[in-house]
Amino acid sequence: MTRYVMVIDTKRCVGCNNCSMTCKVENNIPEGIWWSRSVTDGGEAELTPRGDSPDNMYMRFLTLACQHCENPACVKVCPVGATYRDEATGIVRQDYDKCIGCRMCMAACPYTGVRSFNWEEPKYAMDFATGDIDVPKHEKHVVEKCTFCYQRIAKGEVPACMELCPARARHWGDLDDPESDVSKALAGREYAQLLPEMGTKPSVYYLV
Amino acid sequence: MTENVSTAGAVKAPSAPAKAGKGATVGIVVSAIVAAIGIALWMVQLSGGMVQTAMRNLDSWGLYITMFMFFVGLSAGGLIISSVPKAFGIKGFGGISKVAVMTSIAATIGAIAFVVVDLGQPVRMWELFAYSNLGSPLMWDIIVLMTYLILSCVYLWAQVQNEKGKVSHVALRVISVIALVCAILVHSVTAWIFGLQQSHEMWHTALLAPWFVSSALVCGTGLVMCTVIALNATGYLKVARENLVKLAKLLAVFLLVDLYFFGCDLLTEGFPAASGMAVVDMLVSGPLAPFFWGEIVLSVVAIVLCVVPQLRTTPLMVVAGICAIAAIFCKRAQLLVGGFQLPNIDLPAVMTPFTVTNWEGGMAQAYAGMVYWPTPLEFGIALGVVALAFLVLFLGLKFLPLKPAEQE
Amino acid sequence: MEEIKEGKGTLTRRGFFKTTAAVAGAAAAGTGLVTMAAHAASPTKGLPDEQSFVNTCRGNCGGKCVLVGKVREGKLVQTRPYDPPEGFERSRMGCVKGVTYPQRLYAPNRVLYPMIQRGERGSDNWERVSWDEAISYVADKINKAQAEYGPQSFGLWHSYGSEGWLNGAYHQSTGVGYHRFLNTFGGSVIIPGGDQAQVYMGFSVVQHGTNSTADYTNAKTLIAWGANVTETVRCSWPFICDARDKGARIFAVDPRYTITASGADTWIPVRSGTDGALILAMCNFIIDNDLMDKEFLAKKSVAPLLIKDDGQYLRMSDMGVPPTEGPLNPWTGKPTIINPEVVFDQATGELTSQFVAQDPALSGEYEYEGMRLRTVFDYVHDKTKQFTVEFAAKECDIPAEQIEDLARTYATNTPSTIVMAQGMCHHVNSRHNYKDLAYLASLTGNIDRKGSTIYLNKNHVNVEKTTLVTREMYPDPSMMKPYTPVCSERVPEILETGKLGQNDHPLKVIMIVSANPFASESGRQRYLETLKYLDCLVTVDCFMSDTARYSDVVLPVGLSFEQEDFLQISAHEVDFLMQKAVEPAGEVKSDFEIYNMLAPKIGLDGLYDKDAEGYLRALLDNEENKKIGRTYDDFKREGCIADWSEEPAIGTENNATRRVQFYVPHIVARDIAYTELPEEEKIPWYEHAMEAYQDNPLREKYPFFGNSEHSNYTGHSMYNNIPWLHEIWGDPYVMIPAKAAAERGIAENDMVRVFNDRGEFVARARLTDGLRYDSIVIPHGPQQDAYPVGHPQDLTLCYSDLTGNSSYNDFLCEVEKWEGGE
Repeated sequence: MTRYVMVIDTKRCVGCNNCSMTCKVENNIPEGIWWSRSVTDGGEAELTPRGDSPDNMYMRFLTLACQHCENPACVKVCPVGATYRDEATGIVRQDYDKCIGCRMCMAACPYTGVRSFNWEEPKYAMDFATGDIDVPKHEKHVVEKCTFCYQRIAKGEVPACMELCPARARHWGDLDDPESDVSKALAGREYAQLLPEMGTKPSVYYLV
Repeated sequence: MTENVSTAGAVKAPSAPAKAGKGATVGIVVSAIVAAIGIALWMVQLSGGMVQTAMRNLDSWGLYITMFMFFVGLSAGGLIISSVPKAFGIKGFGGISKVAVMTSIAATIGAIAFVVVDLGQPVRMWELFAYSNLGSPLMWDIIVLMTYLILSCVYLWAQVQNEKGKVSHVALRVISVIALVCAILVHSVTAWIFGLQQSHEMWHTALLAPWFVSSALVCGTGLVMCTVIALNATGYLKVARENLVKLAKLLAVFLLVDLYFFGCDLLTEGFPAASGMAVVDMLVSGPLAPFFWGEIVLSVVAIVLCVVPQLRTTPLMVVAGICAIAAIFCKRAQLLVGGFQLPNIDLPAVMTPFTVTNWEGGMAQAYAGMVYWPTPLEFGIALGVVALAFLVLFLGLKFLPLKPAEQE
Repeated sequence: MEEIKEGKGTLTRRGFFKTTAAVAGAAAAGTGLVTMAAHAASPTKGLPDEQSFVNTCRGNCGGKCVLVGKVREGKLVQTRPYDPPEGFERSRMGCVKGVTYPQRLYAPNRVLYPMIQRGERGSDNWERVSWDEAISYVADKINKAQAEYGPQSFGLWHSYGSEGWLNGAYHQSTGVGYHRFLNTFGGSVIIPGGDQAQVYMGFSVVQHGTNSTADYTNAKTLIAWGANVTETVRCSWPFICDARDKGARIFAVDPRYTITASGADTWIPVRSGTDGALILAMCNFIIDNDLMDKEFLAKKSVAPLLIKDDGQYLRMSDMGVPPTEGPLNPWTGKPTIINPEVVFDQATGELTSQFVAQDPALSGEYEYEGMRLRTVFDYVHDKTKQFTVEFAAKECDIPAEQIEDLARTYATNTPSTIVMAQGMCHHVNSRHNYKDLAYLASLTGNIDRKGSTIYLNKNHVNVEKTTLVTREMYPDPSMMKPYTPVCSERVPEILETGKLGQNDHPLKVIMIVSANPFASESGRQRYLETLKYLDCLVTVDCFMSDTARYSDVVLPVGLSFEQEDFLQISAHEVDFLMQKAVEPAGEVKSDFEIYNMLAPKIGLDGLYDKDAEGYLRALLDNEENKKIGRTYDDFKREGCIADWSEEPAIGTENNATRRVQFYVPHIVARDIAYTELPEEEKIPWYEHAMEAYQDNPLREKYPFFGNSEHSNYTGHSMYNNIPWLHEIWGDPYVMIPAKAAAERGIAENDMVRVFNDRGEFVARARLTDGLRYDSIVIPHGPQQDAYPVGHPQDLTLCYSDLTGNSSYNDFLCEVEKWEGGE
C-alpha cells in the first residue's frame, strides 16, 4: 500500500506562502479561492506575534490545506460520494462533476477553511488557464480543495507545493516506505497533527 | 423533488370537493404569488451565483438550513399531536387531527424545499438516488423525509377513508403508530446531520436528537394551536375550548421539557469550564445572546400564558403559540450560526470575499459579531419557500375534506 | 467525471505506480553537473504543445532566481523556480512573487505603446504615438538642451530594476546597451540612492571579504542585524536553520519582531538608527573585558598599521623604499602600485612593511624622522571609547545587560557571523555602520574565517563561472566621453539651483531607465516639486509606474520573458541564458533596441556594431567558455548551466592593505558634491540620525520613528497590481504598536493617516505587540494608487550624504485615525 503524507517543519516554515501561490497557479485556482494557506499562530493579525515583552514573543506558521485524513469526516457525510478516499494512495479526492453543492463536507470537516465552495462562476484575471493542463476545470457551485496535486503524482511528480519550499520545510512521500523522505523526516523528531481529538487521522504531519 | 410534489398532488385527486372558503382562496392566491417570486429569486441565485447569499466557506450554511431545521420541527409536531392519541387510543384534541396532519405535510414540503434552494447544483439531485451514500446522515434524512411525507399523505388519506368507513380503526391505529415512529425518526435524523459532527463543539452532543424531538413538539403544538384557533375563528371547524386548553397545557409541558434539555446541555458544556465554556459564553453574553435570551423569554412567556388559567384566553393562546414557535426559531438560529461561530482553527490567514461573511476585517472582526447574517435575497427566497408551504396548506384546506366528519 | 479526462491515460492505477517507480529510479542517478536540457525549447511531459523556457523574474531583490516558464498556445501559463538537483535542496530559489510572473506579464497596467503626456505631468492625459515620433521627440529635447546648456544637461537615471548583460542597467556592471550609451553621450549619469550606505561603504570603501551563505552552518553565534532574511533573502534561511539545529545561538537585532526574530533565540528590539552605538559599545565591552582576538587584530586587520598626524598611513616610500608594480587592475587596465604600510614589529623592534613584520604591535607611540606615529588601533580606540555600554543602553533603549550578553556571546561563542541585509542602511548616519562592523569583527577575529563573516547574499563564490568578455560593454575608446555621476538624492537640489556643489550643472532633460525613483527613493515630495525645472522627463518602463505617470514621455520596454539576454547570478551561482518565451506585448521593445533607436538621433552614430545575438555571442564565445561548454550555443541549447556546490566559501581581503579595514584614510565621497570629508568619516563612528533620534524636539509633535519594510510580497515597486499577490497580502498596511494604537483610538484595520511636516499618506492599520512602542512600520512597494491619500515616500527625507544614500527610515511621524473617505 502507498500512503502519501506531507510532513511540514514548523521550525523552518516562515509563512511565506510560496506553497500557497504555487498551488494557486499550478491548479489554476479561481479568484478568491486558496486551497493552501499559511496561517499565523501568534497575534490577532497575520504576521504578528503574541507576547507582552521582548522575552516572551511567540509567532509560528502553519501551512494549512486538506489533511487527506485516513478517517475523513467529509467522505462519510457526502450523500453522493463526490468526495471519496482513493485507497491506492490515501488521497481524499473530490469529483466536481458529481458534487451537488450541499456543503455537508464543509460542515463536517474539522479543519476550518480547507474546503472551499465556488460561490459564483469561477473568475480569473487572465483569459487562459495557468498551470498544469491536466487540472480539472473548476465549476460553479461545487466544493473543491487540495488534491495533493493528483495530476502531478500521476506523472510521477510531487505536489507543486512540495518542491519549491524555500525553507526546505516540506517533505512528501509514502509513509509506508521506511526509506521515504517523510519517514526519515518523522524519525527522531517530535511531531504534531492537527486536531487529533477529532479522530480523523490526518496525512499531514507537523514537526514541532 | 418533483416526485414529492406529485405525491402531494396525488392526495388532492381522491379528495371530495370542499366548500371553498373565501379566506383560503385569498391565501392560495397570495401565497402562490409570493412563492412564484421566491422561485424567481431562486433562479437569480442560481444564475448569478450563491455569492449573492451571505454564506461563505467558514459559515457555509445559513438561513436555508436554519429554516430546514425549523420546518422539520413544525412538521413533526402536527403529526405527533394527531397520531399520539390514536396510537395510544386515548382521547384526542377534538377534530383537529386531519388539519394537524395537513400542517405537517405543508411543513415537510417546506423543509424539503429549503434543502433544495440551499443546493449549489439542484439539477444533480437525481444523483442522490443514483449514487446514494447510505452512510451519510444527510442521505438518511432525505430518505426519512421522503418516507415521512408519503406516510403523512397516507395517514391523512387513511383518516379521510376511515371517516368514510373504508379503513378500519385498527388499520388507522397501525398507520398512526408508524407515522409516530417516523416523526420521531425524522427529528432524530435531522439532529444527527449536526449532532454526529465532531467538528462543531456546539453540535456534537448525544442530546441533540431527543432535544430536536422536544423542540419539534413545542413548535408543532404551537403551530397546530394557532392554526386551529384561526380556523375556529373563520368557522372552518369548531373546536371545543377544553381541547384548546388541553393543547395549551401540553405546549407548556413540551416547553418545560425543551428548556430542561437546554439546561442539561448548558451545564454539560459549561461545567468542566473547558472548551465548552466558549459555547456558553457565546450564547449567554456573546454574539448569539439575542437569540438565546429571546428563546428563554419567549418560552417563559408561552409557559406562563399556558399554565395560568386566567391568561388562557383565545388571543393569548395564539400569542403563546406564536411565542413557542418563535422561541424554537431562535433555538434553530443559535444552533446553526453557533456551529460556525466557533471555528476550530481561527488563526489569521489569507482572507478573500469567499472566506467568511464579514471578511474584510480579518478573522477577529469576522467573529466579533454574528459570523453570519442573511442577505435580502436569502430572506426573499426563504419567504418564497414559506409561501410554498402555506400554499400547500391552503390548497389542502380548500380542496381536501379536512373538516371533522362530525363535530365531536 | 474523474479529475483527468478519459483518453490521456495518465491516471489509471497501473500507470500511476509505474511512473512513480520510474522517477524514483531516475532521481537517484542525477547529481553533479546538471543542465536544463529537458527544459530548453523542447516538449515537456505534458501535451506536445507545451514548451519550457528559462529566464528570471528581474525583481531587483538580488536573488535573480532562475524561473522555468511554461508556454502553452503562445501564453506563459506558469513560472516555477528552477529546482536544484537532489542533494542541493538548500540552494532552492524562488519566492511567492516569481510564481506570479504570468500575471505580471499580462497585467492590465502594462505600457504597450510609446506615449506622450499632453496635459500636466501626472494628469494621466496620455496620447499614443508611434515609436518614430516618440524617439524624435525625445532626441529633439536632448539635442536642444545639449546645444543650449551643454552635455551635462541630459541625465540618464538608472536604478536596479532590470538586469541582464544586454538590457540591464547597472552602473559599472551589466548592460551592453546602457554602458555603450552612457560612456558616449558625455552627460550626467544619475545613480540610485537605495542601499548605497551599505553598497558603497561595504564594498567600495571598507571592501571587506564575505563568506558564502553556506558558511552560516559553521557559525555558533548568528546575529541577524536589521536583516529579516526570511522575507528578503530566503536563500540564506535553510543554512541558518541548519546552524540552529547544530546548536547555534541566534540573535535578531531589529525594532520589529520579524519572522526572522521568531526563529531566533533572542530578540533585541533596538531603537532604529542606533545600530552604530550598539556596535561600538560591543567593541568597547570586548576591549575592556579583554575578549579580543589580538592575534587576528594584529595580523589580519589594519589595527597595527601606523598613521601619521595627518591620519595617513606611513608607507615604505616614506622610509625611502620605492613602490613596485603589481598585477593589472581589470577596471583601469593599469598595473596596481604596491607601496606597503608600515608597522612596528615587536619581534625585531623595528618599523617595517606590514607584509614582512612577524609580530606587529597593536599599541604604542612611535617616531620616524620627527613624525609622530601611532597605531590605527590606538587612534580608533581613543576616538571611540566614549561609546560605552551605558551610552548605548540609553541610545538604543535596551538593557545594558543585553548589550553585554550580545558582546560576550559574539566574542566568545565563536565562530560568529553577522547576518546583515539593508536594515541598518536606511539612516543618514548608516554609512558609519560598515566601518563599525569591520572594527567589531576585527577585534574578535569574526571575519574571513570559517563560520565568521559580516554580510550575506553571496552564495557559492567558489564555483566555476562563465567567462564574459566585458569589453563588449564599452564602445570604441575613440568614442568614449567622460560623464558626471550624480547621486539621485542630489537631483532636486540641482534642478532647483542649477548647481552640483560649487559647479554649475544645469539639468534639463532626464531619461529614467530601469528605475522608479518617485516610488522607491526617499524624499518623493522634493522630487515632484522640483520637476517643474525640468524641460523633459522620459521614462522607459514596462508599467505605468509612479515615475512614468509624472513623465512627459513613456517608452514601453519588455519584461524578461519577452526578450533574450544573459545573466550570471550572484546569489545562486547559476549562469543562464534568459530565453525569450513569448512575443512582446503591444509595441514594446527591449532596452537594447531603444538605445539603438535613440543613439543615432542624438549624434551617436555607429555606437552599436552588432545586433543583440551578436553581442551575446561576443560576450560568451571565448576560448575559456569553449573549453567548459559555456558558449552562446551551449546556453541556447541548455538554458541554464550550473556546477552545484554547497561547500562553504571563505572570504579574503582583496583591498590594497590586504587587511580588514575599519579605518579608511583615503575615503572619497560617492556624491561628488562632497569634496572634503571630516576625520569622523575615516574611523568607526556613531552620530545620531538626522531626524529620527530620541532627543529630537520634533518628537513632541511626531513621536514615532518611521521604518519601512521590505515585505515578502513586494519587490520594491515591481510587483504591483498582481491580483494573486493582492489577494494574499491585501492593501498596504501600517504596523503600529498595539498600545500606541489604543492610546490613539485606532483599531485593527482602521484607516489611519501617517504624517509629518513633509507629507502624509493613508493606509489601513495593523496592530502588533511585536514592535517597539516608539516605532511604526510603513509599507514599501505599493504605488500611489494603493493609497487613498499620499504616498509613504512623501514623509521621507531627501538628503544626500557622502554615499548618496536614500535614508528611508530617518524620519519622525505621527499616526491618527483617518476620518476622510467615508
